[in-house]
Amino acid sequence: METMSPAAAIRFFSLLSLVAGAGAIAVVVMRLVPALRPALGALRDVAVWLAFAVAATATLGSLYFSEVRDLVPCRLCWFQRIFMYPLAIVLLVGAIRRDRGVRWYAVPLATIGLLVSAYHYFIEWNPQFESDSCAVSVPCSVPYFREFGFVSLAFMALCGFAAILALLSIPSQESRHDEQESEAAVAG
Amino acid sequence: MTNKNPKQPSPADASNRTRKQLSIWLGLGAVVVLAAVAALVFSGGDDDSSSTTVPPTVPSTGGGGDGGGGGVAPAESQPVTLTGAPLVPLPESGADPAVGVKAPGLSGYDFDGNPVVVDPSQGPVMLVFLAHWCPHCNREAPQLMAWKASGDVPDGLQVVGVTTAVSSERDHYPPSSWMRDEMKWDWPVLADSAENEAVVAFGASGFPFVVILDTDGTVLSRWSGERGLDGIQESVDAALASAA
Repeated sequence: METMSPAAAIRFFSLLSLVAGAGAIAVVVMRLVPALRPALGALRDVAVWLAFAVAATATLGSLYFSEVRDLVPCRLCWFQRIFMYPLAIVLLVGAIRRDRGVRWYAVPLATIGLLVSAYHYFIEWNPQFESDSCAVSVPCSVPYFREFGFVSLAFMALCGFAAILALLSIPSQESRHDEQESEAAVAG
Repeated sequence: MTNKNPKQPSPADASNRTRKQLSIWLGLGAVVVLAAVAALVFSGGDDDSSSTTVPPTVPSTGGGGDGGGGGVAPAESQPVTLTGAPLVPLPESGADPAVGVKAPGLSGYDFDGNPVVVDPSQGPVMLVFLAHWCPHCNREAPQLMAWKASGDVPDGLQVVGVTTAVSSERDHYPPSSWMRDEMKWDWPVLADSAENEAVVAFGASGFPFVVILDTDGTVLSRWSGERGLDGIQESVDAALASAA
């Protein structure tokens, strides 16, 4: 990554976040439309691993921008870090242990992170809702960059949290069997 | 009796699932590689410094510059000269302990390198610290110009814009054209140093930041943030009235 120029790195992480955001929307649509639900079957066994991949990429990206590119995180960026970094660890352990209960720990973290990111992104476009002045050091309402005109660090985090939540909303293989049995019992 | 255990997958099912999982991971890998290639290819023409940014950090201590005297070369940041003790930072709430305190003497240069001396003995001074990337400054500076156009600026008040926290990677850079072309600023401008010494010495807590000085150089009022046309008038009137 050191060899990648700052412009290329921003574009790289922006593209990944757009993929994550599009993936989150696709999963939600597939969950909501019964005819598309079978398409989620392939993701069922790897959803937690994929969620971990998203959290790990977001964590590494965040560390890259702050430690390698010296972009000092603002106050709201810190809050998002607080919720994203543990997700990388929790989801890894959950994936290794095939722990269905990992959702109980990961979903609250991702949900709060998503809300903070959404608020951060909102005030980037509407700074008057945060305060009537810019912080002298690192103001939350002034993004370091807007790739493609709209992808900021807050947007990247928003996509990451959304993708993690969408992936964790996919029922596990075991849950699916339970669901099928319940459905069969009701039908029978 | 219902069998509670899920159906045991056949070897063919298991192989199918493995293949599907493998294709998911391969697909994910392909997405990452494609993103990296696209990023490298499509950002190839960009200047390295044009997309990443350097935060407009403000040092915690002030210091002297080598301003004053003759002109210097045109630049977006210029050396400044500060004399006397710096002011304490403006508190978020409550009374401002700097009111009535002698402010540091300030001189420096405009963007073209012409000397600018802040001299309260010629009349009360209103220093307006502005950062080109700050959305609130971008809203307040036109309000200040509208205030000037209204003719309601008190007689004898010297208004000086001080551009500070310059970052070549942030919006509305360079501040020289931002002030001239975008903000239509036509009061004198003093460019703060690259180390933002002036804004630190006057104790800014946020942008925009305003300091009103009495004719003896003491602080009459300080505030940060947008006030709008009416708020500016009220604040300035109150500050000048407190001097009387």
